[in-house]
Amino acid sequence: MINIKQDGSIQDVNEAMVIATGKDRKQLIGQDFSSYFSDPEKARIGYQKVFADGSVKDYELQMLHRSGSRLDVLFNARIFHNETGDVAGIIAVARDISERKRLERELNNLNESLEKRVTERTAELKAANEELEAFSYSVSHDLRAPLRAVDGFSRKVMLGCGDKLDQEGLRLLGVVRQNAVRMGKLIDDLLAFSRLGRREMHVVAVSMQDLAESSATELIELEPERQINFSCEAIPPCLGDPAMLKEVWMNLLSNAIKFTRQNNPAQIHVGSRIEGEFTIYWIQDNGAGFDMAYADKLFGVFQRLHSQEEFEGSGVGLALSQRIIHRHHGRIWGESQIGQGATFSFTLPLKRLSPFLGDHP
Amino acid sequence: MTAIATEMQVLLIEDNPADAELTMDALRESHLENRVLWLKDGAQAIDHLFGEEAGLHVQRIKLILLDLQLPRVNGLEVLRRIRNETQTRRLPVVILTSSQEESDVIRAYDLGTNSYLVKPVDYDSFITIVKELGLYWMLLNKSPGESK
Repeated sequence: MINIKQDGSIQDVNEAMVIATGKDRKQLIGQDFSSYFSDPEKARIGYQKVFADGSVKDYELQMLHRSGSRLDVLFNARIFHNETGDVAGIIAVARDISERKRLERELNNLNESLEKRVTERTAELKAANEELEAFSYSVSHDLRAPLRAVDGFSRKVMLGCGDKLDQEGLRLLGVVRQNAVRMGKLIDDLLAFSRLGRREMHVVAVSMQDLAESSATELIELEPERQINFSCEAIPPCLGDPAMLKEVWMNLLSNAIKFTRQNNPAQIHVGSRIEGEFTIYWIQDNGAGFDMAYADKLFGVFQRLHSQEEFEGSGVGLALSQRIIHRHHGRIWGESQIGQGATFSFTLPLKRLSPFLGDHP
Repeated sequence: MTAIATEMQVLLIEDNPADAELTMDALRESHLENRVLWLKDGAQAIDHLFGEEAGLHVQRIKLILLDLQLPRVNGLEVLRRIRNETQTRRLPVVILTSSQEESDVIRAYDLGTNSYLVKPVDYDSFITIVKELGLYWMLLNKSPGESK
């Protein structure tokens, strides 16, 4: 506690102030109040404010100890009057807030180091991403070129020296070529998959009905000899990236068309229902189906549940679809029994998607 | 490759000998094989197009087939030089590459390519594409300054 005159000089102090400053009571009395603070100007403004307004609350100052150490305090002060009613001075009480200030400083330091770590981590991730991009670039260019040579030169053998080869020789070269082309397709699909992670999302309102129907029309046109009965219920629109969602429909519908190859006519049905905060869209077919024991493998890259001879494919379509649905904060799954057809379902949130949408789940 | 002096040329800038051979197979199907000049990297291309004899060389070029991933000077840099120099700026350039990267497509168009084709892995598609592009650019397309 400290008692200050109108000119700013100290009138009296208690024991706490003696300890805080490291000076005798006698030494303190008569001295300028502001000279015991790290920021004398702020201290002066403080007591002038008390004289002007009658009081101050929680005025922050830093007291100087004789030893040079500093003590953070909060001053609460008010004026007092003498017997005749005139302003006689200020009574000020200081509260030690050094512990709070220490914690604040620690928190600031922590924040700073956290920010630094985030910056470093971001730079690392950026570098990793660039590396990945360079890698996929190299995959796209450097792996495809030799494959073209494998296929091209096998073909040249067939064309140029085909007469020197017997049936079996020609068949073997055919196998080489088929595999080169298949590997080319694998590389393309893998690239599409890796590109998807980097692609920015452009979220708008999307008519899922239009997407499903146009995808089905496009795909069914590619199979003029087959009888495919496609129907689509009235399904609700959603918020999402239309190009990406189109890929999901194309993948799921082309699977349905592929796996109903042995069923005449093929039946493919699209519908939806709302559950909680999500719309569930589903695609049902009467095709070959799959064994539910392997359901967890459906969405892995290059995972396939059928042999190339039964049903061709690279095993990337469903992995790609899952990645797209995850980026839309949804889920995707398949249900089936062998020979009983399959139903693939995915959910999309009904509500507006969060601003973190572009991030991976 | 030797060519008859007055005939217009296809300049093939390609480092991969297998791809170059397949490209020439395809151009043979369009009866253009004798009009191909094959340069094996970007530096050779720069020398051919901007070196001492450049004047003679450039007036014979009807089409440039340009790969992107080239040793020494890459394809985009070659394209940039072609578009920057007065005597080569209007030469038709077709990028013929394995790269499907959108960034390459964008940069190639920004630098002024006339076309961008991704080489298919499959031989038959590759032959068809190169054969057709050879016929189109060599026989159908009209370049500035041509009399007919």
